Amino acid sequence: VTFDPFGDFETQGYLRNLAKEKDPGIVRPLEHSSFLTGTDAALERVREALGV
Amino acid sequence: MFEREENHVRAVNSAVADYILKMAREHHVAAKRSAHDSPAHCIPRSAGDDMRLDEIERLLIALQRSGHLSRIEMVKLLADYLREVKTSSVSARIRKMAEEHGVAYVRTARDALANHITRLAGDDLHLDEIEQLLIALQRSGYLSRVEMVKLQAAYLREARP
Repeated sequence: VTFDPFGDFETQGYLRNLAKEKDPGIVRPLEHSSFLTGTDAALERVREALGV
Repeated sequence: MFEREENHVRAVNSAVADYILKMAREHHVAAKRSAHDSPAHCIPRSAGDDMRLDEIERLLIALQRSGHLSRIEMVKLLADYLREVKTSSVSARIRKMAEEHGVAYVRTARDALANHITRLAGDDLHLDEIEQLLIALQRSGYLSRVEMVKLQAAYLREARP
């Protein structure tokens, strides 16, 4: 069973991803690239929030 | 003024698209919808063709409407553009884009950390050479994260049997 909290998997893809992709074999690498290119900004945000 | 179009040209990496954008910029011509566009879209849609023009195709229409291109020139440029974009594979375009900008992927300590986190979350993923070039292009500022994800999706779809 696909996790579909928004109820629009068929039209918007898995969790409304940018590419509207449904195939988990494609969605997982997309998630990983987003993660790789977002870690710096995310860690910076945490650093600012913690004031370190 | 041409931000969307510039992003599009970067994403498709087409010389013809670049030429069209330069022409539009030179003549200060922006894509605008006319009152006739809505019914003109409805007709093919009702006939079963839901056509949507991209940024470059809309610029071509605008250049023709403003008298900078004849209809024949517009159609020829459109054909050149479509041929270039559709016949070159996504991987070839990504490789070319990286080459043109002199960009290569360099693995960072953060990447190692991110890979460990992904692995510990149960996904043992390894990006291939093309996907790594996309990461490098995004980090060098040649692609936004959204463009990168869309290009990666196009590449993966193309690579699948």
